[in-house]
Amino acid sequence: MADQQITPADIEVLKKLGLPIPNETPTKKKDEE
Amino acid sequence: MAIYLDNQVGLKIATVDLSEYVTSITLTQTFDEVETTSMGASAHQFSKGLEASTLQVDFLNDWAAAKVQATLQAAYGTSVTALIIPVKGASPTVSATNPLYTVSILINNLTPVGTGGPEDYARSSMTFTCTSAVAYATTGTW
Repeated sequence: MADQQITPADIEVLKKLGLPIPNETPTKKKDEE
Repeated sequence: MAIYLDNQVGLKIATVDLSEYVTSITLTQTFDEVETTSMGASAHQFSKGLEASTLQVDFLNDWAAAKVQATLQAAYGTSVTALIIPVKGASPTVSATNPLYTVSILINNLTPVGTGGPEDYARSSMTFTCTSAVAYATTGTW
């Protein structure tokens, strides 16, 4: 566990806080395509 | 020598850096001692059992978005990742003299209205149960 690991529970916390999720590829909205 | 003042410890909970609000932090690594005493023994014999570590943290409360109280409330009732580094500094480097401790903690208690009197800043003092072994790393990223 040398590098920072992010768990599903961590991601849920970040979502609740409205913070960006590390290493997540942003998805395009339909109207941006 | 690699000794440090205890004023730069870094703490992340669920990847959220809460270091600037920590006034005290203690990571206690321990494991169960399982008795293995058998016939013929003249003293109790024990072997290593499951790890049962704890993380004790005192926070200055901050109710701003994505700070102490919001983060802990969002994590309440779940096991999230805690990262602890002895010297965070401006650009923390994980090394043999500044190792990174990674552990899952169960956010099983909160004291949102915490300790202190009228003359104090509001604080929280909590001890979290670790739900994984404490990983000790001398390389990696904070």
